[in-house]
Amino acid sequence: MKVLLADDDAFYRHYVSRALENWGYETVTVSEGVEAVRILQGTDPPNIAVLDWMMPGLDGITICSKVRQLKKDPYVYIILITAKNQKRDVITGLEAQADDYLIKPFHLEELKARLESGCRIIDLQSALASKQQELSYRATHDFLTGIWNRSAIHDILNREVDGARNMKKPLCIALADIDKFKHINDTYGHDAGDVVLVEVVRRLESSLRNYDSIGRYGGEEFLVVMPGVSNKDALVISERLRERVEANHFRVLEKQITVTLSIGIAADDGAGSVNLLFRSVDEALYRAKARGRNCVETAWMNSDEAKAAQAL
Amino acid sequence: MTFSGKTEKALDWEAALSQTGGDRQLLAELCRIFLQDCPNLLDTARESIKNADPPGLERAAHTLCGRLAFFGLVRAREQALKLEMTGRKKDLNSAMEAFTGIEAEMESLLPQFDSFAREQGL
Repeated sequence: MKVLLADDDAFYRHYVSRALENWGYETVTVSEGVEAVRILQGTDPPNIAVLDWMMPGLDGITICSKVRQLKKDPYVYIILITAKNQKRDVITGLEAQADDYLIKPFHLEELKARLESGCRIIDLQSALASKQQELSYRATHDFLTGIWNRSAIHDILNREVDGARNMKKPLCIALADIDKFKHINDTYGHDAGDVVLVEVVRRLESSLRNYDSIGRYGGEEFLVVMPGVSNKDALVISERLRERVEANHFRVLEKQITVTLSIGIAADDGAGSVNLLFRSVDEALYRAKARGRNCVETAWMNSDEAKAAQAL
Repeated sequence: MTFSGKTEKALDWEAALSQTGGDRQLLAELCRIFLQDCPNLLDTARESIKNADPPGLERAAHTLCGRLAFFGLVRAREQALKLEMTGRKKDLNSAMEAFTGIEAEMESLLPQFDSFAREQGL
């Protein structure tokens, strides 16, 4: 546990810092308020701050208020230390959102107990944050493949469409569907189907740029959002995705099977609704399926034009 | 704590040690710091009275007061508190009298801090 000790008084600084080190805390010591704020606002800030109320530059109360205004994670547990021992002083300190208040002179055992209390709060907060992170991940990711889930990729699509329109940049989306996936499930079982889904996602992800997003839209359907991509490039990328999946056999239950994708692509026209854009890409995918599967269809040209573009 | 006459004659080292959880070395180090900054605090208080600077007097006396409380020196702390109050109330007429009181206290106490620190090899 890392502790910041800020006290302009060399006597108390020595007293407390020696004790902190003896108790095994990683200690950062400063003698004035501005430096204390800099450390608390920096990267990897201390978990606990022991702040003297009266200091040059910024006093402990002001530092406390500044830290709380930031509402930055992780939470910093603040103990104010001061010779101010009036009830009104204690109230002022706690109203500035200090977590604890210790009146000088204090016994080290008392400081130790209060620090341990702070550690318990920090540990609880950290466990809570980690749980929240896990829940947030679960709420936005597909459990099997680890990519965005339907709700999350939809949010991303909305956000990227807004961004593209604000920046007046193109945006394309692709909807990819594994061909005859029901047949794979029926023939080899659902576990094999899961293996195929995971491997398809691995191949798709490895063919995308870092700033593209991919989500599992339905059972065997994946939505790819490609910001800054022109129609022509979207077609090239989608062809690459299709080829990447088809190119190598999938190993399922000691057998090698071929898996293919049908892909529909659509471009944002900068005006219509996101629902309309999605309807376009869905229709393009439907046409790809109708065309015999394992191909790419665009929402902006007919099949012949698409073939001509693919031949480029 | 033992009292004799108007000044605090002897330090109660057991009480002082309780502040450091029985750590004699740490207490000795703190004695050394106190021995270094006590004369400065007294000088600052004296100068503040001379220059009619009540806030300066209050600050110096307040710090001294905190140190003395730390070492469990009740009587000396009361003297320092009196001095601090004269600064807070801007009552510089009675400040010198209070200062003389605390100066006398420190004269008898400082050698004890020095002895303790020496005993710990500092």
